[in-house]
Amino acid sequence: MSGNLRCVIVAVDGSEESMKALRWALDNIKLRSPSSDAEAGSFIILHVQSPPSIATGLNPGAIPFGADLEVPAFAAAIEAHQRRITEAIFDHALKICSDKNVKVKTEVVIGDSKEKICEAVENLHADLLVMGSRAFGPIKRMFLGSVSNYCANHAQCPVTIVKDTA
Amino acid sequence: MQTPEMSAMATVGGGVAAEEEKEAAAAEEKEMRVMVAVDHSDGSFYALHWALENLFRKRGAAAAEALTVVHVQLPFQHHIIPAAHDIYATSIVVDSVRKAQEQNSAVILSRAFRLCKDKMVKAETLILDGDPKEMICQAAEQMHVDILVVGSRGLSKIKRAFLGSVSDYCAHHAKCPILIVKPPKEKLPTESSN
Repeated sequence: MSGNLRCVIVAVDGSEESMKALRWALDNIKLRSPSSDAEAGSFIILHVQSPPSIATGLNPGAIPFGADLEVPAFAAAIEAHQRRITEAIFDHALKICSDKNVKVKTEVVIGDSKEKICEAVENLHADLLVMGSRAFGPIKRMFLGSVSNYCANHAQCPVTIVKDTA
Repeated sequence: MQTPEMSAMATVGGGVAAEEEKEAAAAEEKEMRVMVAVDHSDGSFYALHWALENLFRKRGAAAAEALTVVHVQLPFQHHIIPAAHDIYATSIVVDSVRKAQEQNSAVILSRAFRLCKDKMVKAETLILDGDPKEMICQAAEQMHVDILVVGSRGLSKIKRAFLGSVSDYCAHHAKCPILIVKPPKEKLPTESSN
């Protein structure tokens, strides 16, 4: 008997904890296997890119050309940089997936991570959301990162938080 | 074999036979130790139901006992507020309160056990005394569970700060992965096929 999970979203952000959560999900979450009445379940690896204004830092005045990112070269440079980061993250994630032999899809959204993750859960009708939690060290290990905390409270589906055990 | 592409679906694997074998082998080792915390709330039973539906592969007689249902009783001292320093609860009161508590826990756990039996999952039940959030995390650690499942009342931020949230506490302090299941907006836990 397989599980009933049709769509499992794993939120990654480039941190090692989120990759660990991805590995955990691939190891432990069994999806719905293909049958005559239902399609196979799949993992969706979701990455939320911070919007360009955040990426430049919160003080746009520090940019020599002024507050608005009207300068196309600069905006394009930021976007290219972010795209490269996203690609690197997905490369790493897909390499992990290929080791485990599972069907995965990838998805990128731009915006505020906690809100976008919850939005994606709604739009994609996810059955489960898996995320790591940022651990800043043994002392801060007590604290859950704000994104995972927000999603645990606001996502429409069950949320699994994978912490790295010391 | 195709190389994984970023934008499209990626399926890397060998032949069908090898996959089937691997799936069987994977199903063998996927028996993880699950602990579900229940109390009188419907939310926790929905969490138990979700866990039974989705976290268990091998069911029936062959399956190992992989599910622990834990219920934490609040210590009875909290119910008794002494009017003066030298008024203590008599042993009769203590006994009756304890008995009522045990009855309560028995009802909750029998309901949980029945749910597990319906889904053909072997479960063991555990009753603990004390502060629920701490006891759940402690139990999860001591029994080396692979995943802890808790329901959530879906409290707002302010209520959460005042009433305290077991799921929040467990999410912070449990050493193992934690699954927080919120009750759905609709009454029935149906599949989202509409």
